[in-house]
Amino acid sequence: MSNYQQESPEVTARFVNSNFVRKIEEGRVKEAEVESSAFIREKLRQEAAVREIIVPVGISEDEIDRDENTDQPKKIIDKEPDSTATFCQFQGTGQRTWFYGPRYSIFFGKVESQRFTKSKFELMTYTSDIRKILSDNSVKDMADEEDRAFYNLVTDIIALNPAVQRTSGPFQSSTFKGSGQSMLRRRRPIGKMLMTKSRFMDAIDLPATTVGSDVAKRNFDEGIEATQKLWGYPCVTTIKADIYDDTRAYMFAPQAPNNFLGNFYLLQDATLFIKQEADIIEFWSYEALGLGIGNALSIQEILFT
Amino acid sequence: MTILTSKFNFRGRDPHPAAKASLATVLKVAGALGPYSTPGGSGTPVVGPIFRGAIVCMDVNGEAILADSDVTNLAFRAVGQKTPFFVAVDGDQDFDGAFVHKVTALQGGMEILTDQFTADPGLIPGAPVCPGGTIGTDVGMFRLAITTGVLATDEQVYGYVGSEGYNAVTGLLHVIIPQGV
Repeated sequence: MSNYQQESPEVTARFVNSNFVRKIEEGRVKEAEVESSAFIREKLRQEAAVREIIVPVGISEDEIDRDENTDQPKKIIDKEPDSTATFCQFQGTGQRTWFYGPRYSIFFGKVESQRFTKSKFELMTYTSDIRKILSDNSVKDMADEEDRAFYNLVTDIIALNPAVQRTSGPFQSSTFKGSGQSMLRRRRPIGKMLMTKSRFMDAIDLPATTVGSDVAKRNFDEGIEATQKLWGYPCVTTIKADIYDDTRAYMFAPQAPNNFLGNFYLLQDATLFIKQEADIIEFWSYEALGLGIGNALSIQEILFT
Repeated sequence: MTILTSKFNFRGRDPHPAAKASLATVLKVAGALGPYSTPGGSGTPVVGPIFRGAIVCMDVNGEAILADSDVTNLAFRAVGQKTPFFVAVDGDQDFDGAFVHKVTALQGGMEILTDQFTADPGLIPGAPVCPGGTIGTDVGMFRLAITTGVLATDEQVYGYVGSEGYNAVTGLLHVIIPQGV
């Protein structure tokens, strides 16, 4: 029998778990945290739909605004003051105005995963990479909370002004066209659309007479996953039909280069915290963020009928 | 022996760092408004109904409402049961509360100093206190439990005035809230 170990590019899950435990026991908690934190940040970008609509921006302590009544942070965002111009005779003048720039505030809250607790002896028995599984799950949970907050905000906005900000119709070009026209009539540019993946699959039914034989053939050959846009508009899709209503899609004004939409600030991005006391290991993820829509008219809802 | 197929598990949270003996929970606030729930919103989060240090209880949806001894929310009192009360640590009127509209609520096993009470000369050390109500316009605040133990009055004791009593200089009331309902 050979007495040497084979080198393998694939590390077994059992080794990963034991390595994870060993690093903690050797006091290399920071290293274990960093490894998992890097993983978490990547997954969050992929899985929180709101982060594709409003790109989160890290904010440092010298950028936050203070308030005399509380020690909690906020960020005050300036809105563009409205202005006009007018034709007049050569001896006439433009209107005089004392301009006021409106503002709104972003407040912050914390999203935290469950606090996972386990004995290191029990952890050793897992043959799957339990660290990765739990980190991945907690990332999804946190991303869901971000999406839930965003969806609640969007539905509140639409509920106040449905006659203007809702377009109803079937999953056809005329409906999307009508939605885009509503945005443009309000002088809002069109950035991205958001809908569930299951609703997006309706694009498969779009006939060649509408989208052209090339697109119809591609959808037939490669499926809808190869499609990134609908009628030229980038489409963000999400599997979270339990959060985003499957019967609706949303059209948003762009956030860049000019921000017509809102703000998403991160006081701290997703971070994994690990600690061990004797044989008990605890780890959980947390982040602190603020999210707001400053321009409520920059959203159009499409209600599919 | 741990049986992995069992569904038993723990639910709960680590104790509040300043009230470690108290059961801590996080409750969604009932009826809280978003920044665009009403016309004229600018996008700034809107404060909710629960102030810092308020006594809250759960409605039938498990959401936090201000405890009201004169009405409510004390649905289980109608059948002779008690209602679990909590103290909202920060309420949803501060920045983070207005944003998330969830409150950190502590159930019992703590001592507090509060300015959320209805002044009464009967608030001496050892006196029982209960949530205020709509009649006294002190919903969610502490008040002297006048008719302790009489269910028909809808007063359910939730703590006692502590040894420091009422401090007329600071305007604060010392309250001891034991564990248990």
